[in-house]
Amino acid sequence: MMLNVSGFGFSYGRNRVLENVSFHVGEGELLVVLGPNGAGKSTLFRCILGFENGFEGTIELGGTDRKRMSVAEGAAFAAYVPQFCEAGFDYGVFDMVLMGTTARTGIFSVPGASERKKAEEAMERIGISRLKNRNFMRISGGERQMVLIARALAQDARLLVMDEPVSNLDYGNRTKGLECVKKLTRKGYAVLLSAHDPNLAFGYADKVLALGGGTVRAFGTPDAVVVPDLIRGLYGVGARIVSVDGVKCCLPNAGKDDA
Amino acid sequence: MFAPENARSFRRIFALLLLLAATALLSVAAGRYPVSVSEVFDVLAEKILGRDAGVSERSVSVIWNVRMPRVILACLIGCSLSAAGAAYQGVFQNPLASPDILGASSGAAFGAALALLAGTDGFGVAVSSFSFSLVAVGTVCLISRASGGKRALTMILAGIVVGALFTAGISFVKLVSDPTDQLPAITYWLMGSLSGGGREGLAFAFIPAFSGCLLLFALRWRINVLTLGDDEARSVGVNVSAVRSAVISGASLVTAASVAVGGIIGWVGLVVPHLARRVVGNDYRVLMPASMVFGALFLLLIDDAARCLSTREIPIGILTSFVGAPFFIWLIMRTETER
Repeated sequence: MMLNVSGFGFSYGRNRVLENVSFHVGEGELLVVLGPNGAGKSTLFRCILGFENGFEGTIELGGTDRKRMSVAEGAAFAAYVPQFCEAGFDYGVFDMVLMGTTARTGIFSVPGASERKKAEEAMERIGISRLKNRNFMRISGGERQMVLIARALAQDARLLVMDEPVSNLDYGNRTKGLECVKKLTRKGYAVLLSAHDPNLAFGYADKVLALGGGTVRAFGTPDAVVVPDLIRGLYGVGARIVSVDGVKCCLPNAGKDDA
Repeated sequence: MFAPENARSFRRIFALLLLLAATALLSVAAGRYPVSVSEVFDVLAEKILGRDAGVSERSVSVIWNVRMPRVILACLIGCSLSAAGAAYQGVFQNPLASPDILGASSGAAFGAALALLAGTDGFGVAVSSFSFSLVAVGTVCLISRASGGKRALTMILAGIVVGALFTAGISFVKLVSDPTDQLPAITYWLMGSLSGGGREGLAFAFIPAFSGCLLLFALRWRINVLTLGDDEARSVGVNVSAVRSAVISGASLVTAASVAVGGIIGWVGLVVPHLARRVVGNDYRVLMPASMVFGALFLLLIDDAARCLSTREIPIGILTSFVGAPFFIWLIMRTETER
């Protein structure tokens, strides 16, 4: 198992965010995490990535207790693809990808030839080598997201944790980004991806984790999890699931107040 | 060690180093007591190679005992303040950070004022100033550690508060000092000058400044990663709090050493890193060495102006502000060109 979470709970002070969360992700699986704003998706991701350590229950990465892993060990196993990159200064795209190799660079040294090769390969794999000499702040949002994915690949981690990676992308970039992620899972990467749109679950997810009301509402295959009752429970709106040419799709019950 | 696509940047830095060496030679020759460049070479040969070149006793003394230490000190302080500024800008993700962001300068000034009030000599002033500078930064670190919230932000806020406290302390020391001799000495120290320093200043500042600069240079790739923000830096495997503490220690050490022997020399640590950013980009692998060399060159030229422009020496802090502020305005106004 790449990631195994059991009995997980977390509080910010007295504010209970999540409790009794258990799920697992295996090699080559894409897990989509659904839930309304404030459901605790980001908090869960932060704990998995080791940004927060004050959680209850256990998080295991490849069978090792997260709390026992050093920062470098954690980085070797799980990579983070944020929604935005808040870099204070503008860097070259290649340097940005190269930063993914930092865990393997000694504290007083700079990335060497093998790290540079890693970064080049990572860019090639997702087809963004053409951006190599551009500046990160001067490329489009969709391209930036791809650069952040390349950085995660250069990190050589097997688990990719993506916090709403496509929420700010246009339709085309969103599709391209998700296709790219899906391809990575076929190569054995495990992906944890949070999203606002339940439709993402149908096209891409192997499993879906629905968080709401401070705990797990459902965990399982997209077909079993994403049903009208769940959508109403999570988001408070009516929806229906239709099937178009064999592909399922979640549509809002527009105009019909069946609440 | 140096990547091929950075080769151009490193050639630039090498060219800058040559320029710095040439400027340093000319600076030793410049001044009211006339000395020629060939005499400078002769004295260097005499002192280093032990070859007697027959330069007059007076020239040897001026070159070897007065101007050379001062030129080296100017380079060292310029290099240190610029490196510290660049480092703070990186770890605080803040382009406006400068070496006094954590109260290092105010602490140093308070320490110097206190020592001048007590009537100690130059060495005592340096020691007191150096110590209080580190006390100020240490206090800032303790405050931010004890408070919640984002570490980088609380450090900046604590830096402002501690800086203000020490500034109030300086005012109080001025108030109780003797207005005939102590007060002018304090005021003059606060304006910054390398005239009093020379050999003693160099002997005092060299080890902390050099080791601090070495640490900052060694950590240049980690500083790159820290500018991504705490979470992303941690996710790629950087122990954020440890690396940030190391960078802050190095930057504070060089700032304290510089201010202790040179007084308050503003603007260098803010302007020079930005100039270097414009020339070599934001990558700290190149930016850190570039800032160091630019800083040394910048302060060397300013110090030359300070001692040569008029018969009476102009405090260097005044000149760096006069030059630095308009220069910074020019940097802001110049539209960024596509690289």
